Amino acid sequence: MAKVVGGAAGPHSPVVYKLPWEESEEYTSSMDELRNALMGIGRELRRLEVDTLLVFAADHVQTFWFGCFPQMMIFTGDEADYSVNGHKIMRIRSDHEMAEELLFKLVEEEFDVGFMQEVEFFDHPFTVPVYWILKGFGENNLKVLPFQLNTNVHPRVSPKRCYKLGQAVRKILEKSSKKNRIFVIGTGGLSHYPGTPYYGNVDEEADRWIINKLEKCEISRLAELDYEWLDATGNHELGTWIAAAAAVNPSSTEILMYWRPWNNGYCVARFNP
Amino acid sequence: MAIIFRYPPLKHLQLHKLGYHLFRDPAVRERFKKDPHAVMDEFGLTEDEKKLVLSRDGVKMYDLGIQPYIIFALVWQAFGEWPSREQITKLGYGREIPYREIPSD
Repeated sequence: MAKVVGGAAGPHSPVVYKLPWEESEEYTSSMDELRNALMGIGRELRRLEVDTLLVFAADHVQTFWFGCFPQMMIFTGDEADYSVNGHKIMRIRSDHEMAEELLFKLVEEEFDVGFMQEVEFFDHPFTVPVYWILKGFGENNLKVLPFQLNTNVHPRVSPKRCYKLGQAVRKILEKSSKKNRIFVIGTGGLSHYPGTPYYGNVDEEADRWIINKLEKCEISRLAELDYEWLDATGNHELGTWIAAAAAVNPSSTEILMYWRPWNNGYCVARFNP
Repeated sequence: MAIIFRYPPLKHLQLHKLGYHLFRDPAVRERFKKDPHAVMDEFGLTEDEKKLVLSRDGVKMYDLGIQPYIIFALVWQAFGEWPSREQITKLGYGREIPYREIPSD
């Protein structure tokens, strides 16, 4: 059987890829710490001999357009380009056999997931964390399997649905005849308000409450949240974290860092089976 | 509380489409920087929408119903910028967030 050997969640802001403005030494030092946490996850993937990195992330109207905007979409192609704001920075192999098995079984389980066999590019929600994780991983033989979960354009996949999706993914993998060792990540968050008049706020109190639930592995409690609360606290992307955590069903969660600069609550969490 | 990351109103389809291309396509961004009117004409924006884009007033765009991820593209990425701490203060961001309760459990 395939095995989920671990999971994690962390931010995907383009700022984490490259800082576009000048900041204080304290800020850049914390940003380095954040990148190091993501690279540490990459080193952990190598130690765990991971074959496939499954990435739950929400497109920011860059890969998809309102001409066709999917709630759930799995990439079933061979390889894909990864960009930051349309600038291509890497091309990575995917795991189309694993993706196809997930697609077929998820649809059987009544998750109406779309598929795409080719894509022009995935952008920063996928690219940024994968970029730093691969830097830590240190080799180019890791396969990356992108899974779009719409948490950013209403109406969206509910947190409860994200939770059930993660559970279903785990069960399908456990029954698979494949031998893949899979690591699952969710990307985005924590509190931030991009493109809104609320930008520049960070709801640290809400972030701390979420972190407390993560540390206690009370993922089902997070799944009870609704989008009014998630939007109000800038945690609209939490569904990707919930899906990743549910796919792992963690016995423990480590918070590798929490940092709250002026425009974003940055957290990196590690889910241990 | 209210939904912030909202559904895009159909009446602004072309404006959203411009933002989408500005966000993802460096070539469109370059053309826009050189001649925004030509690019806005190409996308079929109304006169009011053109004024809105040129105002770079993200707060007004939000209040008129534009999808936040498109606002980010129209206000910042179209001009090759990213909002710094100083800029957002000047431009009226940092509006008080909606009231919410932290769950007791």
